Amino acid sequence: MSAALRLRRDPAWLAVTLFALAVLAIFLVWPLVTTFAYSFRGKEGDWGLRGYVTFFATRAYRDSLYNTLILGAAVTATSMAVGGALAILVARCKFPLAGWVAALPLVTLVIPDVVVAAAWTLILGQQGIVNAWLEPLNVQVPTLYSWWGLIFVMTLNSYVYAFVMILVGLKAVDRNLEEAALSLGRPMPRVLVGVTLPLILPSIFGAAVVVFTHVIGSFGIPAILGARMPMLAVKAYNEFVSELGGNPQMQTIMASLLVMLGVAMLAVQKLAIERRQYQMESGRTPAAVAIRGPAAMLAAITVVLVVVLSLAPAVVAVITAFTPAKGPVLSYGGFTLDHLATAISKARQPLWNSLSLAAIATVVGVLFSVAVAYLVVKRRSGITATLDVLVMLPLTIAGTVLGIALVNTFNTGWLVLTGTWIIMALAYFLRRIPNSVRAAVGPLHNIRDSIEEASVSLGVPPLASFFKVVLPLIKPAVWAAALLMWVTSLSELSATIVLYYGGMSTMPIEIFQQVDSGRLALASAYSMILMLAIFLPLGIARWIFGLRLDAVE
Amino acid sequence: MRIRFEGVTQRYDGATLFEDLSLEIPSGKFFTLLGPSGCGKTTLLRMLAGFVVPDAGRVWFGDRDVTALPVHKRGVGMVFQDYALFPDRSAFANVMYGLEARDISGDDAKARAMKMLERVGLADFAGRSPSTLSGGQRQRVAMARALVIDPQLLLLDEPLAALDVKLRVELRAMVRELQLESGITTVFVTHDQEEALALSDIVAVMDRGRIVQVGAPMQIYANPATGYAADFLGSANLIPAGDGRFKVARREEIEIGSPTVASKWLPDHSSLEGAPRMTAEDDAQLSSPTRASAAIRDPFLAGVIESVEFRGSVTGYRVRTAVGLIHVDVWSVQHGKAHERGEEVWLRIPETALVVKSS
Repeated sequence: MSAALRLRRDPAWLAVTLFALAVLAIFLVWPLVTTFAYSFRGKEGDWGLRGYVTFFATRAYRDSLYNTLILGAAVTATSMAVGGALAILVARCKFPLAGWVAALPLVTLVIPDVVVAAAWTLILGQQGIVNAWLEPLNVQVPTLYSWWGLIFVMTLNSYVYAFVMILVGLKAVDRNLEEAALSLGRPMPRVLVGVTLPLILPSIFGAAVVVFTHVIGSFGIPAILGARMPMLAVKAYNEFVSELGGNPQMQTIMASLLVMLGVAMLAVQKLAIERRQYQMESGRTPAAVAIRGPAAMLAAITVVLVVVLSLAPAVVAVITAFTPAKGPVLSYGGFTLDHLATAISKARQPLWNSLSLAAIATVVGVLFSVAVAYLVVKRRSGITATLDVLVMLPLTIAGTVLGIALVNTFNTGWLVLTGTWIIMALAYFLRRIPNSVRAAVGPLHNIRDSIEEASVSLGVPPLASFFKVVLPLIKPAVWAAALLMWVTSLSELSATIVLYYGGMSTMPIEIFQQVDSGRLALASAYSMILMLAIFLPLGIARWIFGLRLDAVE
Repeated sequence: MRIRFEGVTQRYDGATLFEDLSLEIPSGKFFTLLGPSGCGKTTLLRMLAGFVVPDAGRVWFGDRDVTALPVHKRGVGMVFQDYALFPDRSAFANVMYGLEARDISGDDAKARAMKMLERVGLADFAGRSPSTLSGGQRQRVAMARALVIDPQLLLLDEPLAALDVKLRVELRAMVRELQLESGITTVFVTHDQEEALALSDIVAVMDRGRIVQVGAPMQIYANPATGYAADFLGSANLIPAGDGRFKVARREEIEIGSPTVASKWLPDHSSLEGAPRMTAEDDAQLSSPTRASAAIRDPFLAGVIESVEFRGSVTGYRVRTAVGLIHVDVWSVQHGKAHERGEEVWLRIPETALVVKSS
């Protein structure tokens, strides 16, 4: 009887449910099924596994799968190490500058992937800043366009997920449990290993799954740094844009493999990890122990180092934006406004495209997400459980894959969207709804059913009751979700680079193309404009509403 | 307005909650559904509100079949256990909510809302937000909010359960007074027998989806229909009577005394099967003839005190006897001397306190 009102007796909400299901079926499930089906269809229209046989028989294709798995595993390991260590440090120890970590989620959010990749080529690339310093010594840093470079930059781009999830897990540990174990005569180290560790294991594995999924689907950084070891997501894109007419079946096979990997990760998360999540008594968080002396110094240096490395791309991009350049050669120390002037005159259209597409996707996406979150939390039934699974599906789908699936599905037939702005906004929308739904689910759980029932019993119909009573109570979460959706849509690259067409280029696409053709200074100027466009509203929102975005991610 | 359940059947997750249940609630009465958690009383209440629709059967409001009528069209006032106040609205705005939904606005509506807040004694708190009000005050706002719309039926879902004892007693007097004043048919759900007996015109005792007994508080207390009802109404000892029946002995009517005094006049028989007979040494010690004859008919039991619970006005004893544990409540002050744990005592159970029931 926990579901407040039965769905089948409530035509208005039933209509919303069916509409949401229809949207997801048409724009998410159908493209995925189509892509999957195409992966079994050969050039002559024959059906079968021959495409997959070719895929595994051809070294270049086979390697892209292996590379993806290797990168996923390596970056997951390094991110867990960095993020985990950082989380343990700030959750359990008190030392100077520990508060700096609060800035990390925001920093990562504000700097788009593609800017991170561009900036690190500026810092550690062949003609980079570090090599310039090292020149008198006649040494060079190993090339960034290698496994270590890729893993290094990807780690800096991914560790925050591990950090936030493990930190949340650590903070949820009930201090009473540790104290109970201590009072039973166990020494602290054994308590940490025997009591605390098992409690946070689900968070640790959950974080690993999230990082792995993020890495195998990422596009911007591997596309820029990983030319020598192509990843599935990048290779699928290259096949897609190949002027020689890449193999369409191979695209869909690579897309299908990525989807399968993602779904496998989601299955692991749902079946193996979430079930082991412990319900902890609303607890007191374990107290942080103050550390002093060299240990505190070391801890502080670690935190500062991580923050500086995370922030470096933004700083470098801003400096480079004002640095004179001759071709790819930059003369640091000089000052010019040329790049900015060029960028401002050229970037107007892409900036406008980015802003308007993100705005549309955000408005539609937030409305949709709030409705779905409400249905999932307050109207539990078989049909809304299906909705719950479908709406989380985009988490497992790489942007490139989603882009290819949408293009292939909507270029012919009764609904043609390829080559319109709608398909780009649709991609933004689909990619971001899982996070927005999650953001709204939490506060909805905290609203007791009786509040809504009180409103209905006082004569306000169910749908109107939602708007009058429920919506005002979850407003902060809705605003945070909207902001997050907007910001991440502004830096979206992997899906839109597949979907964009003449005149509809976006800022991340422009940056990617400038980097690709070696115009790093101009790319930096673009990056600076994009980061301003992201940061200004975010800063204003944080300042005015006191929004906590780290709570959302 | 007369309320009727007619042949209502409800299943949930394969289990049957009610099977062909019928019940009538007379107009203008304060009607209480009393039972332990899980007996279905809240589901019945929610059926009246419209949150639950029976799988079979009908619900009638007067001559109107409301079985399929949606909640918001029923014109029912409901008060929830957790208050369910809108946290982002002031007490006054909470009370106004239902009026606004009925398109009643302006000074007339404001006056009505204020008057209602006055009646629950919260006129000075109109502008306060619910989070700044105490539990009792919140429940008063909830009462005002439910009553201001002039509902044809008032539903109270354990409204006092979350409050502490003193407030509960204070608030239930207010609830009863408001109901008597307005004359609204009221259905009250509770698991607290004292509350049920104190407030109601009619009490229905429920047990696992069945209605065991319906009647005026005094009637069901004095003459419980089944052992279950007797047990649930509290204050009762169930003593097996051998043939599948049992005797009910109310706790507060049992007398307890020390054997040294009693042994002098213990009568020579006990009508409680299985209880050891005792011998009276001297009947003449009993002062009045009526008391003597009564005492002679009454069963006596020997026992040992297992626990003593001083509860203020009343002291409760649990006495182990040959027929099982017997609970005895005595007025602490009147009784004077307290018995101690482990002490051997006798119990006199007046014939008038005994009701024989089949289980």
